[in-house]
Amino acid sequence: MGGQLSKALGKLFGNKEMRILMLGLDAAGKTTILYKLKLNQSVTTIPTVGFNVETVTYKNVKFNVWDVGGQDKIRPLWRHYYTGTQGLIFVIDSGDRDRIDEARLELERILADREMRDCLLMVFANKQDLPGAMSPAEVTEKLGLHKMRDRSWYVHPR
Amino acid sequence: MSVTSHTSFPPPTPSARSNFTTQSTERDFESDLTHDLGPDSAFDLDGTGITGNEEEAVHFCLLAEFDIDAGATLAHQYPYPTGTDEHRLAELMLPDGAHLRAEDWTIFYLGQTPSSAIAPMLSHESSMRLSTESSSSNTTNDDNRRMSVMPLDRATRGVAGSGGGLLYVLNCVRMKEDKKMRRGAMVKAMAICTPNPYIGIYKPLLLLALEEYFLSPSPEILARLFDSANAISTAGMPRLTRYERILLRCSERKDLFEEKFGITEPLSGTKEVFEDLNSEPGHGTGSMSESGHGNEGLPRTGSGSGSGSTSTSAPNHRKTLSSSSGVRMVRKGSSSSQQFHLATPPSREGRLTPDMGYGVSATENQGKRKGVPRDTHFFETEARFKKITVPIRIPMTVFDEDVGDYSLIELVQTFSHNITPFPPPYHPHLHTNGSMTHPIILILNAMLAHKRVMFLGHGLPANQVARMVLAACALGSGCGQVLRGITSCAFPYANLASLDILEEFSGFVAGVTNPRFEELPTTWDVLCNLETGKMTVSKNLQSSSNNITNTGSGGMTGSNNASSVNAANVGSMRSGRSSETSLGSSSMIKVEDDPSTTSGTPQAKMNSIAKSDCLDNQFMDEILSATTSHYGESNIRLRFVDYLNRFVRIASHQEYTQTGSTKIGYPSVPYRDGVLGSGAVFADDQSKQRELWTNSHRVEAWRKTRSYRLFAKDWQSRLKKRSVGFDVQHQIARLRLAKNMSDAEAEAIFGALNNGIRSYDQVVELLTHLPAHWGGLIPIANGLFHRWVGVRENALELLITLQQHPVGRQAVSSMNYFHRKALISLLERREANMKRQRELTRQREEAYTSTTTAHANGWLAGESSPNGTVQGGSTNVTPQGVGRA
Repeated sequence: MGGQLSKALGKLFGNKEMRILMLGLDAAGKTTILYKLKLNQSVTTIPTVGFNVETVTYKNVKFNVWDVGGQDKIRPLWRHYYTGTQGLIFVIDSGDRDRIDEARLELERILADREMRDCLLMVFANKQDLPGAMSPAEVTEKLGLHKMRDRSWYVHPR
Repeated sequence: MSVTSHTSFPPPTPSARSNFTTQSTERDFESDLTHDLGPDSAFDLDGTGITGNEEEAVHFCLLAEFDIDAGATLAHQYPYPTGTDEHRLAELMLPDGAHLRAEDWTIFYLGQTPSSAIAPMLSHESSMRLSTESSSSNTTNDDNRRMSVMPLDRATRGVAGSGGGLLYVLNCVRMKEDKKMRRGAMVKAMAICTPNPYIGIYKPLLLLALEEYFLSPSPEILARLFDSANAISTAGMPRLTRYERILLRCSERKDLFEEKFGITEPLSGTKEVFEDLNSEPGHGTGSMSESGHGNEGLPRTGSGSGSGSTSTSAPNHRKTLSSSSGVRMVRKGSSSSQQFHLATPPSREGRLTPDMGYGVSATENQGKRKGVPRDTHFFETEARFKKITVPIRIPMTVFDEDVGDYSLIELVQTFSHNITPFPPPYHPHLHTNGSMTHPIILILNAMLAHKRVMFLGHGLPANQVARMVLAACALGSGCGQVLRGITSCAFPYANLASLDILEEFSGFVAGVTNPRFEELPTTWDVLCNLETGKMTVSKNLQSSSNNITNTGSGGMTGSNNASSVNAANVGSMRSGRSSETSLGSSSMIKVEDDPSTTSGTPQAKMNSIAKSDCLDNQFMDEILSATTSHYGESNIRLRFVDYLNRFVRIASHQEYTQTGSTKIGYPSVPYRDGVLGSGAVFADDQSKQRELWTNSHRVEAWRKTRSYRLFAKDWQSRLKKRSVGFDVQHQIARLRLAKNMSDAEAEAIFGALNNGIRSYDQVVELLTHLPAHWGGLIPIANGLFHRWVGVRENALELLITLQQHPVGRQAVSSMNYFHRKALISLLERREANMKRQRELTRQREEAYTSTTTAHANGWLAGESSPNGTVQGGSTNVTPQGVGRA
């Protein structure tokens, strides 16, 4: 997965150093993705208190990837990470149909912030292996990504 | 979980605190100042052994957990909600990265801003009487009562005004992995809120309680923690005055002020004292009559030992404790008087003989008195949690703003291992030595200038950044001893959730673990990276940095620009002088239009200003070599305290020379025509210029801060309550530093010292200026060798006065061999004189007896009954007469 994702990131972002912010509801799998990127192996994670940040280099591009805890009460802190962010990875638990709407609201709120105007968006439809998981297309639709005209986005399945 | 004894006497606490802390620190300056007078007066009004009726040690216990669904959540507050925003508390209790380590600690304060204060309505005391009184009358009552009660209470700790009247929060957070749990781990944190600056003592209790909570999560555990923390007994813990604390800090002895400890049960304690009193005089007179000559050399009876030993008549406020000390003093006094004449004991390892009596009395007493610690720097007590007993050591040398456990050595080493010259541009108040400013000095400067200092330790435990912040506070406050006001804008642990609070402060010192702060340079002025040891000055400060280059160049125009390359001592001297004179107008010096185009020039100028032999750098070199030669933390702290004390002296001098008066010290005037000098003392003109040069910008910056205004206030109150009516430090510094001193000045100094230092408090104050690491009593003892007999006599008298108190005796006993020898031979000579005189008197008396019997003044009365009236238990009046002789 790590290699694939790195390639995907490489496609999206061309320059030498990138600041990536990884957000999403709690238990969506952000930290797992971060360490898959970093170490190219699956690690067992526990809920993130605060944040994790790692530097991942792919094809001479240095990605500073920030993974910020996603529980309801700590989402207001997300905004402190917006300034200077060039890419947003929004992670979705594809198996969590109940909260896909909550996820859409949060995503809309993030993208509405001035600081995130020029930010590229990648939606990571995580946990595709779960039975009954939403497909990337379904996630795209449920998040209303097609309505976004002025932003480049990409949905990556896993 | 009942609130037990503490209810009986709800003392000045959170509400008192929050009453004024609900204003922002920027605004509440005046009220802050009035409150701040409290602790200072309390310092002087030291009490006796402490029993009940105290402020609670712990006001709140909190529990937060990282809810896997909701996030950081404050689960419980005990005994009732603090009124502070719960989410903010939870965020501070669950630091960034808490999921990465099994255990961590955070420290933060409550009461710094309205939003982080205890809500007045919910405050401790009002809630305790909530039912009866209406809130409006309640507050006024509280105010009145607080004012009247405070000095009697345990007022030195955490009382409103001790720099913000804060509650200090120590928080323990633990992560436990548990495969059975959903998402595999639990993160919980428990905290106590206390007004005591020595928060570290609660660590074991917190660990136990938190462990317990993991086993059975119930709010009852908070209640148990609360109760056991408040049940820690401080009975028998002495309350030391400001100067006593300073003295204790400077001393490595483990028995200093030993006599003030113990007496656990007041009743039996007094009894013991009386027993002692009863037995003592007999002992005293016995020894006196045995060695009739022995006592004469000793105390100056009338003022000194009389007030010291008979507690009832003692004008100073020491009660039971000092009476016990008095008793022991008596015994020691008498035995030491004998010792004096038994010649020096080679076996005592250089100690002067009085110690022998001391040792005896100590062992004698040990059986009776409980609670005398092994090391008087700590009061030893214990805490009980469930069935576990934990030993607790309460540090006795802590000042109100000296919070928590920290290490200046750690701070110094962290930021000294990777020193590179600071890049331009330079800020006048920060880069006081241009590119060569030492990083630690830069932190000190930033603290003194009330800048926004942030310590970043990415990937490090929160407690490590907290320790750095506490150490930085110690740096800027002289370990709480010199300056105040820093704690109220210190945030030992902060995170992004604290940003809005930080923004309320124009200056602060904060510790963070989130590297995001590095990317938010608008939030800090100086960023200190713990990992790299690198220090970054925010670009946003640079607009004003032109001032410095110009101040520098302005100050140095003509005198130093030419000789810029080879700025040796002469150069620095000139620049010092010129910058000193130009200081007043430095802010008006032209600002260069474009820093980028002219940056080359200022840099060149700054580099010319930067001196490798700058005093700051020399000082830091000394510190570093001291740390590498394994000097302890306490020694390093002393050096920094001295340095800050010196800074304040210089500031006062600078203020005085610029404005003709100073609010923060004695006027800087030299000795003239019999009138003692005061103010800062410089060894010579060259070192004076160097010192002024080093400090001038720093002083300028500091004088604009709240810390300065607080100090001015402190100074005024200290002046009012001072026990010595002249600038002792100046006189001592003269004796220590002066290369030339007229005999008249020496006589004036020793005369003033001898006349001005009589009481216990005065002795203690004098001794704080004569710490062991500066050679102890040497400046005084040198007076024994002066060629004028008056000086010698005064020095002798002064040393005799010191001998009357255990502290003084200890100091005298650590004088070197020559000084002790001189002391003893002078005493012997005086004694011979006295004998001769007594014979003369007796002859005269015999002549008088036929004519008049009643015409005896006090002097003669004392003389006529040398073995009679025992004043102060040990000696009679003779020395007084001798003193005049």
